[in-house]
Amino acid sequence: MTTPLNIAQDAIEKILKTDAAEYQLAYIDDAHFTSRVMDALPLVSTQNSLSPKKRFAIIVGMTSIAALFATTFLSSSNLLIDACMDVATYTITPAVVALSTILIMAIVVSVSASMSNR
Amino acid sequence: MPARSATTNPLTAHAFSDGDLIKRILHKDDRHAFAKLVCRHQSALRASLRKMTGGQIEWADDIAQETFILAWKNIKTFRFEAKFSTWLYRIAFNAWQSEVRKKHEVLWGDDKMPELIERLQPPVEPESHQTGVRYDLERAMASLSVSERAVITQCYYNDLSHDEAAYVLSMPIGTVKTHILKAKEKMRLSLNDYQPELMDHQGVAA
Repeated sequence: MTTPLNIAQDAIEKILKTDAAEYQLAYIDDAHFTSRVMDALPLVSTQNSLSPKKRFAIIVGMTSIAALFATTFLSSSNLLIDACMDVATYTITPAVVALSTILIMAIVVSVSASMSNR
Repeated sequence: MPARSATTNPLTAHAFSDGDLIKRILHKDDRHAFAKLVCRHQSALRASLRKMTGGQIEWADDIAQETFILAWKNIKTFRFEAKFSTWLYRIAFNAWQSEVRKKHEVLWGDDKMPELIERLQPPVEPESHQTGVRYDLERAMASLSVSERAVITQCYYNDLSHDEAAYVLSMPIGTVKTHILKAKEKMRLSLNDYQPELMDHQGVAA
């Protein structure tokens, strides 16, 4: 049913479409805009940055290697348990140092990776 | 809208599609290919931002430049699921939103936003070549909220579908449709206030 409100809404639709059609046909001259953008582009290649998957692989890989070194050279079969017990008793042992190093490394690499991803 | 000439786009017929150029950028780090993309899309993007900023040419061009720089930095995240132009509009909208936040230090969705935006804009004055309808339309657009204006700009002036507008504006499709209805109702009232004979004329013609 055609009501005055419908007619008015159709009129708005028509006005908007007419104005939009004229707007879409018009062209803004480049006037060195492209060269300004190209001059402002960062020099660092987009190809040099690592993908998130590669970053994740590096973080996990480095942490695993550090953990492997720690367990190999500490001659303890229960590095994590020993370290936790030592932390609980406020004793600084090689196990605590190894655990702290692994944790700090993981945090530093994660934070730096997330910052460079921005 | 000032500074827009009614000439045709010289880059309408191009040898390489946007997809071809993006692949060249991704595989060969080809800055020349990116320059072609900028040249091809600058007019539409700058026009869209001029609409969003209420005709502030310098501000709109600054955001357009920022948009292309962000596109270059994040080109690897382009998944070819949307059109490149739609992806650009999304970056541009986010950049514009961030600029507005910076300028006013208010949060998105704040009730004071439309007033603040309007205060930021210079008064729209009719130019000699501008028809009364266009002048009234600009005034009616200025009466809309930020999100309503964004939806109208994307759906009518950028000719995006409701789905695409929802993607660009990061809002549900139902919200897009609601904003369109509300915006058109507000515009109807504004146009009635400014020029009642226009609505009568258009209404009768329709």
